[in-house]
Amino acid sequence: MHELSIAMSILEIAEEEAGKHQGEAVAAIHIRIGNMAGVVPQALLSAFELAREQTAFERCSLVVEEVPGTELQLAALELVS
Amino acid sequence: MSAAAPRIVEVRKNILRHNDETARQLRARFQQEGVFVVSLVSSPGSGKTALLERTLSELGRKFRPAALVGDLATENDAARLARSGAPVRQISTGTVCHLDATMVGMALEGWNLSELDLLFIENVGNLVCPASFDIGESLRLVLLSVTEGEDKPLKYPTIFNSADVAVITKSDLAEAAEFDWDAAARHIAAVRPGMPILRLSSRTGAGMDEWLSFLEARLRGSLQNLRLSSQSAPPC
Repeated sequence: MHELSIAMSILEIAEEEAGKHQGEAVAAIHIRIGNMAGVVPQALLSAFELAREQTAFERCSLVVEEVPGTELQLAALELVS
Repeated sequence: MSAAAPRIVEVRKNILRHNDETARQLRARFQQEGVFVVSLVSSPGSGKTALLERTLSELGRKFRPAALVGDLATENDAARLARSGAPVRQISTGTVCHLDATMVGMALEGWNLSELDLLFIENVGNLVCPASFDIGESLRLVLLSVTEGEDKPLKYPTIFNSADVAVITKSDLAEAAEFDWDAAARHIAAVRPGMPILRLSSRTGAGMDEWLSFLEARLRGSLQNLRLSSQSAPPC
């Protein structure tokens, strides 16, 4: 369940960052999830699909890289013009 | 028309930065006001409220404790704890499975923290979600009751790893539950080496003295650190 609030935080940061690149659309958001971060990638992907509905990110995908540790990071945006 | 190749822009931002920042501000505020904050996490029914009930009553003779309790619904736990005479507030999270720093900050509105020595925050009963959220506490306890089985730490390593102390509760039922103390200690150490382990029964009071002394030592240690750091602060 907390994956939904994490998905919303991801969109919040992505929106802020995307604002710096006017004229380009975000095709994908790349994130890194530590195995001890307490976040289940599959659950986060489902939550993300829900959270992106009716936002500017409706067609944006989420790419998860699983890493060791407690990291939970928005690593990069994939932009297309 | 061919689509342009995508370009990658590095962001490298902590996804929980908003919560972490709010928690950092809370922690600074707690330090400034001289309140030692202890949070409790466990699965539902491990005895967080029972331990707090007894702890608040016992501590009330020497210190000024208070508690915040999180649950999805009802104010039952707050009503139970309020009988100790300590100030208590319930945080009803609705459908949210954990407390976050903003919820804690909101629940504290209007409270004069400088009138308190200790604040306990009982998280929602859940061994998964609370692990990810810093709520500004100085000490995080993870509770494990003997009826849950000694392998809980292995099943939920993340939450055990995020905690500072493990408390094994309902020790009076250990024999009936055939609880293996050595295995439990081994499993806790496997997940979080060196984490202190306390055992107690909130019902019979066994182990309560050790728990209260442990808490008092941590409380005094934190106050002392605070004094030292304020003394060594450079003149502005």
